[in-house]
Amino acid sequence: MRLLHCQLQNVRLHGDLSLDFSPRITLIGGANESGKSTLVEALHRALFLKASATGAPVEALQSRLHLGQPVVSLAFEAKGDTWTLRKRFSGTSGQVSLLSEASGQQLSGPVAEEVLAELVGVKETVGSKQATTILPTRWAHLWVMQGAAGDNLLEAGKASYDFDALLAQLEQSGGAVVQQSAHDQRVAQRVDTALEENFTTRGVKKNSPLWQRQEELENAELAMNQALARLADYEDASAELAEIGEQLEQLQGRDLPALEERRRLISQGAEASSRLEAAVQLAAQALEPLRLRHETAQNQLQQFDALATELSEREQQLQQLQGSQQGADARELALATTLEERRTSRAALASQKLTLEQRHQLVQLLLEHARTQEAQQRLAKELEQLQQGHARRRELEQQLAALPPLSRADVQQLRDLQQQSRDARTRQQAMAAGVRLLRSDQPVRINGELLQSGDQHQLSSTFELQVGEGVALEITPGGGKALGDLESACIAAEQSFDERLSELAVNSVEAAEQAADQRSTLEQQLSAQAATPLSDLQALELDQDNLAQQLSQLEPQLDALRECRQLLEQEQALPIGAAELQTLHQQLSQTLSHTTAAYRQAEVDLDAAQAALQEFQQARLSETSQLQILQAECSDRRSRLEALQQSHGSRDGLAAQLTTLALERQQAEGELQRLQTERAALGSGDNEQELSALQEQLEALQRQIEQLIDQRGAAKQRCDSISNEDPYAAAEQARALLEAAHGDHKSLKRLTEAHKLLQQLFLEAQADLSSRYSEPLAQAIGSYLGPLISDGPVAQLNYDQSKGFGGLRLRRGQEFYAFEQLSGGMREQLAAALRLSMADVLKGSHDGCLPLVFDDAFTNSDPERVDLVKGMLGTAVDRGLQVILLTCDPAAYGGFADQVVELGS
Amino acid sequence: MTRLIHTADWQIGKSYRQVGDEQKRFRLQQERLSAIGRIRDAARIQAAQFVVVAGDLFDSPTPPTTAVLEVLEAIGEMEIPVLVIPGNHDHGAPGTVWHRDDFQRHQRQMAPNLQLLLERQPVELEQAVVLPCPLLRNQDSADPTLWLRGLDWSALPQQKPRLVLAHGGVHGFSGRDYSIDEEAQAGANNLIDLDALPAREIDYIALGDWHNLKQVSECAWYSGTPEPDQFDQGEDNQRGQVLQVELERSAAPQVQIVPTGRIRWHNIRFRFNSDADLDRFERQVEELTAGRVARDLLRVEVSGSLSLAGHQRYDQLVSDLENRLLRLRLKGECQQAPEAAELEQLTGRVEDPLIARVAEQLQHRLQRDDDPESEQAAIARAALCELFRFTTR
Repeated sequence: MRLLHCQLQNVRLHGDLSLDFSPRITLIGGANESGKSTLVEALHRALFLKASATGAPVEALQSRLHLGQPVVSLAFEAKGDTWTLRKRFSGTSGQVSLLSEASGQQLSGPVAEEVLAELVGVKETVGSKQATTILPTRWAHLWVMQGAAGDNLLEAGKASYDFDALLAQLEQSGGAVVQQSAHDQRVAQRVDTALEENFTTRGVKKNSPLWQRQEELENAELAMNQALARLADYEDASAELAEIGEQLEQLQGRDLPALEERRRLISQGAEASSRLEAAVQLAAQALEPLRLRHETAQNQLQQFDALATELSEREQQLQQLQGSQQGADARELALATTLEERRTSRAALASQKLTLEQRHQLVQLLLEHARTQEAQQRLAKELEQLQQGHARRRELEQQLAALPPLSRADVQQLRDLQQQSRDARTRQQAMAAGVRLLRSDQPVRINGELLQSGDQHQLSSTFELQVGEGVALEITPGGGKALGDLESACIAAEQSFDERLSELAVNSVEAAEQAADQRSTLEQQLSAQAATPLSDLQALELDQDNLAQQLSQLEPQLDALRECRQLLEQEQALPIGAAELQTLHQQLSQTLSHTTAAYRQAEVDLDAAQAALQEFQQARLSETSQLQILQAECSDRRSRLEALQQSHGSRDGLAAQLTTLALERQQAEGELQRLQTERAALGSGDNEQELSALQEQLEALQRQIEQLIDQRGAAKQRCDSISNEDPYAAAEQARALLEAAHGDHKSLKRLTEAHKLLQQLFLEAQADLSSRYSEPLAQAIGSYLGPLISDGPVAQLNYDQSKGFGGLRLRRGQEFYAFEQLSGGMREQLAAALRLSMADVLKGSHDGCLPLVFDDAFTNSDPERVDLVKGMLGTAVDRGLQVILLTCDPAAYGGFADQVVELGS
Repeated sequence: MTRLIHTADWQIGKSYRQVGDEQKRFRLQQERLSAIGRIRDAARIQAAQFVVVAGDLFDSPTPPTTAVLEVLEAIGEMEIPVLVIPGNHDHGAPGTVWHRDDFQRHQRQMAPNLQLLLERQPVELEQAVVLPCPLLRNQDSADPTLWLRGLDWSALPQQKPRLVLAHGGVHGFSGRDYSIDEEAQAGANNLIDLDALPAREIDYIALGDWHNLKQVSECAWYSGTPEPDQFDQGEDNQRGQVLQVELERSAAPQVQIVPTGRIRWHNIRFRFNSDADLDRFERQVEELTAGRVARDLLRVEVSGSLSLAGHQRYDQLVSDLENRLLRLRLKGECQQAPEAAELEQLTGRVEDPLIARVAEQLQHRLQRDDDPESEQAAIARAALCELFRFTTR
């Protein structure tokens, strides 16, 4: 629906006002009291109030300035047609006409009102009765009346924003019709009711089934603990009872009888005690002589046995000594003989050793002699060789001196010079003129020299050829002057060659080569002949002298051993060579060391034999004296034994006597012991004191027993009293009850959990459903206010089937704020965005367009925000909506509107 | 030849508190007493010369007086000597039933044939020598047969067979392993070392404590309880009998099993994979308990899940069984979860988008949850069931 044109006649201050509306934005400006709001009200009443209505709304339109009833005409497009509505508000006689441009049909009266209602999308135009209540709600979501811009549209209820149409459009755009059914609500209600049975907002409801089961469970747990405690009590009491029983048994069965027996004995035994005491003394007295006799006999027997032992030991020793004395002489002799033998053997070894030593010395001297001689010979030979070498060297040196001093370089130089000369000559000849005399009948001369037939000359310089006397020719070979130069070069080369030859004192190059070869051969031989200095030679001669001296020194020593040598030579031929002598010397050394060792051993043996003999002789002496002592001791013991036997009789008799005495003593001691024990059993001497002590003990024991019996009684009573309750069965019952309570509680608890889950899921599902309605609106609001709020959701809305939309909230920063919490300017802008959003949704059933009217709707918006408002309105018209903006400050919106109307001008 | 009845673990006075119904509880308690009558009958039929009870005659050291009186009456009717040692349940510490005045007074009057053996010393009967090994303390860690190791065997009559009467687990076989049944008490530690006893000096060892029949050596037996008092603990558990034993000195004992049990304790596992398993479950229970009323106890380890409708039927079934059986114990949980059709009734509600959406959410949660046994999953399932209930009622 789009407004096209309007005409107001006799409406308050407007006598006749006509204006056209832009299909997009129409800005209507005018100062206060210029009739802006009157215009809006008149248009609103024309659309929604019956022409025949009466009362305040109609009266408000009447003019005091202009005569005639208020008439409002409005041309608009709707439902694919263009309509002209005309209403004359004259109370009950008011008239309405609605002209369809397409059909040309003009409707009037109630029919016109009905069609009009349908065209603007309301149930009916409002009559007088509803004028105050319903009229203000008509298109309240599209038209903002002055002063209502900051109101929360949604607070006014569903009726004020065409809820049903909005829902229908939202459902259409959202696809399937999704809305909770009555049954849905009933079931959700049942879930709530089921929960309310057990819960209040503060928790579990008192006396509810769940509460009861919790109580039961707690009670069962308590009962279980009590039963277990009771059982533990019983078991403790039972254990205590057992322990008391054992203690009593100990006290009554053992401790008490023992004490009583002791008391009995003590009281009985006072008299017996003195009797026993006497008997003890008597027995002790009787024991004493017995003990003495027994000990004496024991001593005597010991003496007897000791003497006999000593005697037999000594006799044994005596026998041994005598045995050893018997062979002593023979053994001494043998020892002496051995000694003598050893002595002889040592002397023989000594002489042998001497001979060997002499021979050894001799051979050593001989060896030395032979070695010296050998050295002398070697030295002589060496000397001779040295001298020969000297002679040869001198000879070579002489030969070398005889040769010209030519080196290989010199020879090479000679060769080079010869070559140079030869080269020069060859070049000259190459340029020479050849002259041969073939035959002549006249003398032919060259340079005056006569040629013979067949002679040939090569002439390299200008020469004169004379033939006969009359002819003389000067012939110049080719080359001219160069020939002369060559000639001089040849001569120079030959000259330097010859000079060099004469310098080196050789005739030719060959001779020079030969001389050089000889020279190098000699030099090699000379260098091969090692030069031995003369000092070496002298040293050798000195050595030779020394050796001769040594030899002469050896001679007298050898002379001294001549005898020995003769003896040795008789035994074996003495070798002459040093090597053989060396061998012999070694043999002799060896033999000598053996013999020396043997000699030393012989000396040791001799000493040993001497010592053995001496030792033997000493031992023999000592044995003899010991023998005498032993013999004396033996006779002493024998005489003492005899004396003992004479005084005490035989040993056997003594032993028998001792046995008897021992037995007697043992019996007497046993008797004494028995008597003493008996007496001790009767207690100490102080019976009175002991008896009273015993009495005290007995009484204490009795008290203890009585106390224990009391305790036992108490424990038994405790046991019995608990036992009567059958604590085991009680515990079992408590356990069974607890288990049942657990089960009951668990199942109900689970059921309530299930109800809670259901409630939660229902709430979620409801929220989800409502968001299908509220979300498109919230998003549309977001699209209008988008520039104001950075990314993310901008606005929130709730949806409730019964209450409609609500809970409008806007995000500022990170928080969402309720409409009421916002500033006046922001409220205006948010309300505008909500209206535009609703119009967006609703336009679908109004040919894609709805007119929105904003009457001084942005008075609280600051100039910067006015730009936002402009943006919002621009977006709205771009989406097909029509905007009519009434303001007292049109300059603020300058150039923004498509159509500007200035009222009051 | 000596002939006796070996029994143990009567556990009289057992309260069966887990059984909710008082009458059924009474029935179970009463059946334990009736078992004594059946032992009496067995002893008469077999012409046994005496009866030995190897411990745990009472369920606790403090049984109620009425139970004590009933036991004494039943024992008195046996007329032959009944030799009893205390076990771990009814140990012989002071202050326990054995030392109570009422017990001692009534025993003299009502059951003079009962010989309570509280002392560790040989007891010579006309036909045999009994070597009692009573448990005299709560939580006694010592081997109760310890005293036999120092016994002068040559001082015993040489012609009479010797019988050891003891209560407890033995080395190599820890009898009191009731791990499968959470109702069992914690195991005691009075282990018996049979190998430490001189085999040639002993002709029979009558053991108590293990509630199933078990021969642990050539001459040592657990008789098991005469009337079962727990759910089955595996394949090989024979309960509800006494042993008739024939003894001669230095001869292997001749043992015969005499059944005495009446109540049946069943233990099964069942997994519900679909509603069809309900029939199978019903059949299986029927097979186990066929033809008997109030004489069976059933323990079922349930798992798996059923549809909502199936679960309603399951609840009905459980309720019926609880009435018919002495006890139905359910371990684990049979989950209820809407099956596809039921779920469709929720998620397919185009007209009720909220319900459909919530149902979908719950379904997603269940599919997302890795552990179907977790509490989260259980809550989600419960929520789905509640949603179904709220929606369809």
